[in-house]
Amino acid sequence: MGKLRNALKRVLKKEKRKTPAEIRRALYAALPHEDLDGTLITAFAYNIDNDGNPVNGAVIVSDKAVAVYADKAEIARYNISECEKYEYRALVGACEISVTDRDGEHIVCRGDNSKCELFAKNVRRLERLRETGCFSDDETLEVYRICPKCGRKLPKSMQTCMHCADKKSMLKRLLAIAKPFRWYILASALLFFISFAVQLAGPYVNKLLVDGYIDSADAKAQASAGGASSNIILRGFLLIILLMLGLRVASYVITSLRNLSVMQAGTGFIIELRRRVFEKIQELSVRAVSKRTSGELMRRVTGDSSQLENFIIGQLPNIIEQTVLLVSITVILIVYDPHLALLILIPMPVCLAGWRFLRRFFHRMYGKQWEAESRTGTVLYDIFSGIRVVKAYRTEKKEFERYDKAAYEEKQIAVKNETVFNLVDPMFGFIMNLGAMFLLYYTGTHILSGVMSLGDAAMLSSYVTLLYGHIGWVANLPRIITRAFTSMVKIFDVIDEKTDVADAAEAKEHTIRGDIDIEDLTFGYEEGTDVLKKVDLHIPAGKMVGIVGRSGAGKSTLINLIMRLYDPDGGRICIDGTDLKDISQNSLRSQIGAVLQETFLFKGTIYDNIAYALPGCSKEKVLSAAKAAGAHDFIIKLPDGYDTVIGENGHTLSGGERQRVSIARALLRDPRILILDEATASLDTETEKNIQDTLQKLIRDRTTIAIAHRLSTLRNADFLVVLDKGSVSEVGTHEELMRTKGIYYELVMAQRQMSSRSRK
Amino acid sequence: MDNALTDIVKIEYLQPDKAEFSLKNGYIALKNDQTEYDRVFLHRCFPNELTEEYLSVLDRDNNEIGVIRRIDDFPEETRELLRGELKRKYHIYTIKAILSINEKYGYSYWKIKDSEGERDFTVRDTYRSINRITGDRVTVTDVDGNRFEIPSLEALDRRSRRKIEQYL
Repeated sequence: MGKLRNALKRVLKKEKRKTPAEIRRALYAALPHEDLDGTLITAFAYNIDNDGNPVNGAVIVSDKAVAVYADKAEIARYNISECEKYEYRALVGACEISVTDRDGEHIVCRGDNSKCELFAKNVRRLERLRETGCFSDDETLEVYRICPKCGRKLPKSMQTCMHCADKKSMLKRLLAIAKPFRWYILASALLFFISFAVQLAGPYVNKLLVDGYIDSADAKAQASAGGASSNIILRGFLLIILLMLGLRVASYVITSLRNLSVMQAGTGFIIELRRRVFEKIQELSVRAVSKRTSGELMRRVTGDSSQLENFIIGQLPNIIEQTVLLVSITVILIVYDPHLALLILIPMPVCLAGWRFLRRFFHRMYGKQWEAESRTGTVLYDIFSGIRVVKAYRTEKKEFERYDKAAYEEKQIAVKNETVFNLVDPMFGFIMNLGAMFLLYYTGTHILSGVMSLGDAAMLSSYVTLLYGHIGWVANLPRIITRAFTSMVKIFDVIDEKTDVADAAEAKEHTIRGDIDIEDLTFGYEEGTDVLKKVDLHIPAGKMVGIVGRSGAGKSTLINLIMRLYDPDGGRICIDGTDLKDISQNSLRSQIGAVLQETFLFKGTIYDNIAYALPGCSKEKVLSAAKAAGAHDFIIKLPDGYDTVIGENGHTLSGGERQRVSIARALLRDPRILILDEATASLDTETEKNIQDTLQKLIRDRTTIAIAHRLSTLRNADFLVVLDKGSVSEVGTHEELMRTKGIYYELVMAQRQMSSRSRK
Repeated sequence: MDNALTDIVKIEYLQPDKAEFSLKNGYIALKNDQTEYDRVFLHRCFPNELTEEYLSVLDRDNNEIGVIRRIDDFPEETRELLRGELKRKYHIYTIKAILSINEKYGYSYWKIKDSEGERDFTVRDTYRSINRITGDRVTVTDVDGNRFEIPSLEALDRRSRRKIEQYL
């Protein structure tokens, strides 16, 4: 007993830090000492008790019993052999597991939202155990998405922990990607050093000019004496001026060259990186892609990479340049006069801190303004996009007031911010300039006492200006670097993601005949909510099957699985006896034509959209596909015919027209399996019938799966499958199903009633 | 004519004298009129504002049995029963104080104090995860989807308030 308690303690305490396999092993070691015997199946922690209060609890499941512990004491035990059903249920901000036995349903445990995945997976495992008597190997089942390093849970759309991402190795990988551009990078680096030298030489030449000629009594005397010596002086003077000019020109040329070379390296690198990210996203499964919003994906491809681009092209050269400059100026100063260097360098950290504070202050200030601006923008957007509703309900005045109020708030904030900014900013500038005053005083007194020449003073002052001129930039540096690192981690996160719908190692090309076998298929988009449950179905090659059922019964999901946009959670789908997983996805999808519920058309001409399925096919083929889909007739009525541009800013097609274009697209492929998901729902019955008659001829020896709510659409089907709540409830021909008077009968009757009523 | 809509579509309100709720194995059962339901679920129609009014009562198949207009209409024991069920269904942490908010690489790491003690959580996209429900009431949603509520910003201590203010 004691050992178990200790093990439990370990589970609860280290649950966050350790991987589940280790937890289970620890528990397993303790098991024989308990009266809970048998093989350990799973163990997991929960954190809410039956009254909704936080608790430290654990559930241990062996193949004999489910034991529930709360605060280290056993509070319930259920005999596995008596359990009839395990259920996972999502609550609000919480979830629960329940078990049903002879006495009805019992709550096993509850947890907050962080337990959802864990609970759902364990319930699925328990259900599998109950049905099949076996369970999969725990160690391979990943139930946690936690960072193994810090124990923090991984955010939903990420694979790597932002907190512990190995930045060093990522930098190394960045460098690897940059390898093709290494000559440009080397050239940039070389040019960098030349440009430092030029920059640092400037003030020194200046000093030569001042000390040697302008402020030199010697030179003045010789120049006024006239003659040869004055010529020499003049020549030297001109030489120095030319040298300064030369330095300027050199600096200009070198900077331009350097920027060009950095540009070459940076752009090439970024495009390469962006290409990799995009390629990877295309490769990912629908599940992986749809778990992120398209906005998020766009940000990864464009936002994060331009953030990096900005960093590499815009900031990185600057960082190197400024750092080297700062260091060398500091060294020069220290070598020249340690006291002076101290005087100049000591205020530096203070100024840095001041700058940082100021930045944050302004950031917060302008953040509010930005928010107010975007609020006004939202109000406007709302009103414009909903202008019909506004007009219909005569709420123009109210909307105007809403806008007025937002604009007024924005103005208030802006005025206040500008006032503060204009008061604070000059004051800070003044304080910064105080340092220059000190320098002036120091150099002034030294010149007067004859220790320092005027040229030295001018040079020092130039160096100090260089030093302090970029202090704001230095203060901003951590933020710039953080931002670039964030983008880098996010980009590698996508690149590193494993593709979950992957081709099997020996996936092969397969010429489809069209026999589809679905065996014991279970699938859910989210953990714990099965959309399809144990579907068994055989669709013989060349037959047309109609799938009917209420909304949300799982019809479209079944089709998604047949196209292998997702992999099933349980069971399998075979085509001609081969598991989908063993057929290469290229080969599979090139032989399936699909018209989906959402008829997505790309921006481009109608011709491009139809030919999308088979790039480079002949015009005749496109024409006949359009004709078969009933699209030809409306297309030739358009002024630009097949060259009509549709999509954004183009011609707007009606819902029915879009559907016909998508049908044409699907037919063009000459697919072995044709999938029609509400393909003709937006068409009137007359047009639908025409298309169907053509289709009927076309699909004679192709397997066709059609989903339709309007049951008349399916009158040509060889047989019908009725899905109800994710399971197959009826299979048969129209006549058979009408005779059995089940769900299909009810649906038909309801539709007949509707249409007869509308006829009256 | 005024009431035409509400006359045609009747909301079925559960009557305190006919609906008998009882506690069973950690959840609630209902006997309404003559019909017995071995488990029912409560769902708030207006979870933000009316936590004890307009509670939809659903059966196992998510069909609505009826609506509880007001918990207070029911006898004392039933009230307790319903409140207990609501507490189980709607899980929310109440923030008593904010100890720290650290932002790093687009995520913020919070350390707060609730009725049980200290608690850590991670928030992604901090600005958008903080929701102002009513002027003073704020909720924060973490990466798991757990909710943390600040019942009143005014009632928070000054330090905590300053920490969250920069995100509001």
